[in-house]
Amino acid sequence: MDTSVAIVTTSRGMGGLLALNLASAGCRVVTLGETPLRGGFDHVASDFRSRAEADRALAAAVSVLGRLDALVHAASLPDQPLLVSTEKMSEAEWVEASEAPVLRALFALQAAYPHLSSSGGRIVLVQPTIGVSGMPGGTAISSAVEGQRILGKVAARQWGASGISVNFLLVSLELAMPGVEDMSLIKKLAEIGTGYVPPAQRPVGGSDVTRDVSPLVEFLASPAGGRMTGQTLVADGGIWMLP
Amino acid sequence: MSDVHATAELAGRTVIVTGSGGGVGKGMALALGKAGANVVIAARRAETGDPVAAEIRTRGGQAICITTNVALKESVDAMIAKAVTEYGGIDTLVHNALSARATDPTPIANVSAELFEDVVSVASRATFLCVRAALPYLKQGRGRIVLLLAHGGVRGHGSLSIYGVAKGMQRGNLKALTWELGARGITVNAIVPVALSEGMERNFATRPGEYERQAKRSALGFIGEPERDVGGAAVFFASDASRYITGQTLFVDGGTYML
Repeated sequence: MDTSVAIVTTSRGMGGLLALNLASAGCRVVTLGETPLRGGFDHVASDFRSRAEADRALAAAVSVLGRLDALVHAASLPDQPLLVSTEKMSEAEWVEASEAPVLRALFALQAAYPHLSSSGGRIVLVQPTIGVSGMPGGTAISSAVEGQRILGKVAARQWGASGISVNFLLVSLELAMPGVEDMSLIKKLAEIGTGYVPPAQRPVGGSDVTRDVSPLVEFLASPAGGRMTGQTLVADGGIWMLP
Repeated sequence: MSDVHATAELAGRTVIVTGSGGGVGKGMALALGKAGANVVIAARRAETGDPVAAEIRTRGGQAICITTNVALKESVDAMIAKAVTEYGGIDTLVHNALSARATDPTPIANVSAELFEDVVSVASRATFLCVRAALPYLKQGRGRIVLLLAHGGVRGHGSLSIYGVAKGMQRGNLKALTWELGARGITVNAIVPVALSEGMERNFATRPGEYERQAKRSALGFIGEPERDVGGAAVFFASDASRYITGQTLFVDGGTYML
């Protein structure tokens, strides 16, 4: 696949595996984020905390890639506390967990837009299903995920005329949020409600980034994704099904 | 205005409505007052909020206006404390307030951090601040939270860029809150309204044919009335009739959008 892809990643999360798999599929890959990932990719350090910083980072990525065909935004949600009730959360914690991820995604998309619009291009956002299912003790991060999903739809509507497609991929919580790899937390989540369903209880079981998620990202990031835009694909093992 | 809500089914219950100095918020406040609730008009300005409270009282209902900036913790906490002092508790919180810049048409490619802050603080962050402040007083088993959302927060919007994102953030919060508060018997629901605001009426007065153009977007062919149509949904969500309904988004839009 002759595609130049910029992947926004975080030190934890699925961005590193996605980068590896897309490179294996023949893509030219640059990762962007606070910390370089293992795998020897060209990396642009950025925290995406301002529009100017995001613009600088995307320009640096494009100078390495030559051109930009796709932006994959696979930043993990921040290492915010899970299972925190609304009453116990401070306003600062709320802003960091709910608003900062949406603002960073906004800056990343805005910065990618002029590079993508020169040739048409594709944007893929990857997040957990909790924005549509809800999760107890996860008000702020559910808000952050759903805000990013609507951001993707807004961009899809407004940038379609520039040949840009924007789609959203929802994956199971443990893939998108490494913090829940703590088994006691997973067990507790499963007991509270269907905001989290353990892999063994999902229709097709657990999901794997390389086997189940990367092919979908590759498809959405490639010209094969066609004119599909503004859509949400759910690859969480069958936990959440569209009404 | 018919008396469709004049059933006193909310007698003795206290309902806070943010952003109720006009438009949909005012309409819901009037309907809730008619249904017997003690209505707290949490409005940014007393000039708009006081007359709404006065109108509810003139009709024989109970209401007070508390000037509130929902984006500021201190203001929200003070409003909740005053409501509790006045009426002894809170049964329902309706968060409807919007930034005046919510309908700013800036394309998403140009939305600034400052515009994001302005719109999100009054919509999404204020949901957090209001819910957090109200929770200790929301009554076990009959507490109700109602959020006013928008089509753009579900389907995205071609021109109201950050408004849709902020509403989406509120809807994600709503679904998580549903899980968090269910065990306490507190329900959390949303209304997506289409109703004539004062601003829309002024707009239509200067643009012949605009009402008809917008009305045709709904299957029913007209634009709803804040009190009669959106108020009915608010009364329903505040009442015992909706006891087993939570986490839902109700489109009160004449059939404009169907899931």
